[in-house]
Amino acid sequence: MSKWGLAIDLKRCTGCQACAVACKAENLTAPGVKWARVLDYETGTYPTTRRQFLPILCMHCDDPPCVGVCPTRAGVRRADGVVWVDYGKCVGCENCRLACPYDARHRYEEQKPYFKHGFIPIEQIDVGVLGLQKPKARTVQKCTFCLHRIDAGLKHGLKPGKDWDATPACVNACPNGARIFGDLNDPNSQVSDLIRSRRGHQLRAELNTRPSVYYLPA
Amino acid sequence: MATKKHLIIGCGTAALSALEAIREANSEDEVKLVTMEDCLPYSPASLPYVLSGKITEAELWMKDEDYFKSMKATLARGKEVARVDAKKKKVSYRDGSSDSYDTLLIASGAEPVQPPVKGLKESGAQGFRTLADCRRLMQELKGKKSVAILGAGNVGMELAGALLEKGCKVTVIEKEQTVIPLYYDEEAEVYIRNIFVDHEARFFLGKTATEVKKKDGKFTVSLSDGSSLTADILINAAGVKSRVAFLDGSGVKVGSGILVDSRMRSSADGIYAAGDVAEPADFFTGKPKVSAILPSAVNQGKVAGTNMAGGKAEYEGGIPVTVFNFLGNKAFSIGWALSKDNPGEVIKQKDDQKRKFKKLVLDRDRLIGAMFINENIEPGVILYLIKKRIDLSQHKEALFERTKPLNDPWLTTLKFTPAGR
Repeated sequence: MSKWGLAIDLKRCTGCQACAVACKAENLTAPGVKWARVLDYETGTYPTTRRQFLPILCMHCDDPPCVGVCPTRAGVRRADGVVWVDYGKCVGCENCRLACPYDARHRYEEQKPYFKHGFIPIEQIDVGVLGLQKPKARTVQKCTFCLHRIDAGLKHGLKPGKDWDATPACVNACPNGARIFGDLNDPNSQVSDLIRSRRGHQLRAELNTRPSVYYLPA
Repeated sequence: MATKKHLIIGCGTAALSALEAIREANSEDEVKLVTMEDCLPYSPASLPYVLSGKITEAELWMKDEDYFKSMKATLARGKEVARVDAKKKKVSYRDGSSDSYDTLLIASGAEPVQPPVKGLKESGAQGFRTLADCRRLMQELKGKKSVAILGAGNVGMELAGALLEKGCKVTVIEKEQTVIPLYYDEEAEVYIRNIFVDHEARFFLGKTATEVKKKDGKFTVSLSDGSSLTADILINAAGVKSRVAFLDGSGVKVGSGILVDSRMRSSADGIYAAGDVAEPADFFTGKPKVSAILPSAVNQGKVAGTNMAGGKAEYEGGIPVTVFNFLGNKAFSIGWALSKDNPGEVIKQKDDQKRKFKKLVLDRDRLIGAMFINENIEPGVILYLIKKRIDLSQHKEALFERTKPLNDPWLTTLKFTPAGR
């Protein structure tokens, strides 16, 4: 059984935000909703200060705190490690937003038009043909590890992480190869190899949520 | 090794969390869940959304029958517990049958409080706690327009919001001077209340109902100040209390709920309690306090289940949290945020025009509470700052002024630990 994971190489990230944009383009998220983003901050004290970029997304935890706390159990952790939300069951209570320490759960109010004419609310668009779930107003959404790309790719015999069409959009978009996706259960996969050789670590590991996202030190 | 038999009273959030923890411990023990209602597991927190039509009944269920099969557990529906014999380790049901156990988890939840109002019970006013209550209300609402709600707590206000959106005339009666008094104080609650008033809700605060009469299909409620009001429908949302009546005579120590230690153990050997029925130590004061909210049920259930399966887990203590989305607005109260009973340093800011409010409460530079209305915040990050007692002396201003990058000090202080999978 595969377990999908992501390694983010902090040495290579330049804070270009291509991952954030690609995610929005792929998943048609509403204005202000960013499933993937890059934090940009200073670290250290003068004279040894540094500017650090930190790409953030849903960690797809092995023990996701967001799943148990949902009153309708709209969130599910699949056997392959992807944590997924059924929008139909989401009531928008935001208990998951209270539970997630990584700020990976995002509130979607409803889409409002930018311009005077030609606005079609996304609820009226058949996003199903793109493999996406139709968003529901006033609910909570999150990164899906582009499971629609993973699942479709696997059906065609493609390899997620290696083949473009089976790989999450943010991974494909990175111009510096700072995002490496693959099977954590395969010790020979590129992602497993990098985590081992570069001593990848998880964000706030002491919380024991057991993220599937690892950071390779800068 | 002999397998144990775990019996769980209840199948709600705490019970399911315990079941998952037992199986996570790779325990081959037998697990049986028993529930009073004859239906699949659901959370009362979802009911206002069934009422408003946001979800259908089919989307309400937390788990289906296949889930229990895959977890190698049995769910017995429609069985109400009558008595618990803590010495014989036996639970007796109303239908005459009984079950023995090695360990028992009581996760029987909470039930509506019946306030001492003359004529309330006889009038046929309903509660809003069970699916049956919700179905009944949806039925009653057909063709009826005015609703009076006893209690302006979380449930009462959620109901008020859902009913206003359905076009009903809503009146709320509350004995305290503020709405949602357990979570918001005067400065904040006035914004919440005024938004409701803008949508034509009426509030009677600082008053109790003294008598209820039903005549010609209408309820007449007399109030403590001598005034009275009428409504087509009357809902009792005055509060909930732990469901512990079946423990009479069992010897299990009960305060407001079942008193438990940090491992969710009650005073009786082999009996645990979790969720709305349990009374563990409060995170801030260390004193026993029922925490009848979803996050507490999940955490308590997990601790109880881990301990039942032979492991060792401790509960950090209840932290009050609430999120309230209403009429296009949102309010959060996290931790010990009420001004009246905490010692902390307060930083706050409000905007009467836009009805925005933000307040942080710190104790020796550690965050203990936060209250926000119509501000964009990261509630999960705030809760973890509180739980982990992170030192914020360097970040206080940044936290308050720029609440959007609140997660900077938190997420960005990476510890470089090698992957230990």
